[in-house]
Amino acid sequence: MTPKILLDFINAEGNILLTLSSSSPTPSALVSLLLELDIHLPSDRNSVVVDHFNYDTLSASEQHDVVLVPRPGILRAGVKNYFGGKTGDVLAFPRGLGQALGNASPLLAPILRAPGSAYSYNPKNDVETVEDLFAVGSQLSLISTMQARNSARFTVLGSAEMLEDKWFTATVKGPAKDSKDVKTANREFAKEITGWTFNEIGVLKVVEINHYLMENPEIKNAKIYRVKNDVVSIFKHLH
Amino acid sequence: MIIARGFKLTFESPKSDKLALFELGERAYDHLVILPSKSKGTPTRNPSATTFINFAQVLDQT
Repeated sequence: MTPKILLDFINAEGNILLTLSSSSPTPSALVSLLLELDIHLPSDRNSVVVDHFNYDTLSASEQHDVVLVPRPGILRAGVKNYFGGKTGDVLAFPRGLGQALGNASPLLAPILRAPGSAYSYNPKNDVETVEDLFAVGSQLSLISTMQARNSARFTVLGSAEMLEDKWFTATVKGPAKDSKDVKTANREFAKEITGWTFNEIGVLKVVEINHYLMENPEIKNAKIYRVKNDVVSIFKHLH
Repeated sequence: MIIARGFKLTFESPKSDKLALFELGERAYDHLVILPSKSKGTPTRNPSATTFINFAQVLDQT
């Protein structure tokens, strides 16, 4: 298995869901595949995302490595949010690996960003202060996705544990004084992540195409047009 | 959860000889899930880089 085969798979319109974990180092083949796609992992193989203000006090009171994240907001104006869920939903992101996304690729988008106070560090370097942070806050993408030109989807999920049954039904509690026990929304979210990656949701389907010459709308869908003809095309689509 | 949605699952280890994403030049699976491995193998001991990921390959029936 090489990055080339996985890229070939994407080029053949295959979808890939790649799950990472801070507890098992990411194989270098996968790291280089991600680099090709302008997705960067911390160079430190033992890095983990922590947040001292948004962690689960029930399961990670010491390590703070089960980060509690609200559902993502809209990515930018005019884009539908497939992962918004209900307000008040809490996602548990246990022992995950954050990614930093390059700016160059328009095909790349973060699905879930880390909370503002989260950062990535290596718990094995037990020093008082953390220097040279890989990325902090919303620079850290917890889940990223790329839709290739051929519509194949490639999603990186920073915490494989997020998909475990345990976290589908877990009860978590934030560190704030007024925090209450809440059930995670991981199950519903996992369904959306896999649904997105495997082309179940958010797929444009063209159901009707019409085109005609601008000065002659009567003749529909002509076989040929000439250079410099003004043509109107209408696409009807479902999504 | 995913089986209920009409997916058929095939699990393969990246170490497996049977593992092939392509068969006769065609994609053998619709989707691919790559899971981290519990294997303690380190990259230095295991230079082939692919041996410590587990694969769950998902075949879409629809």
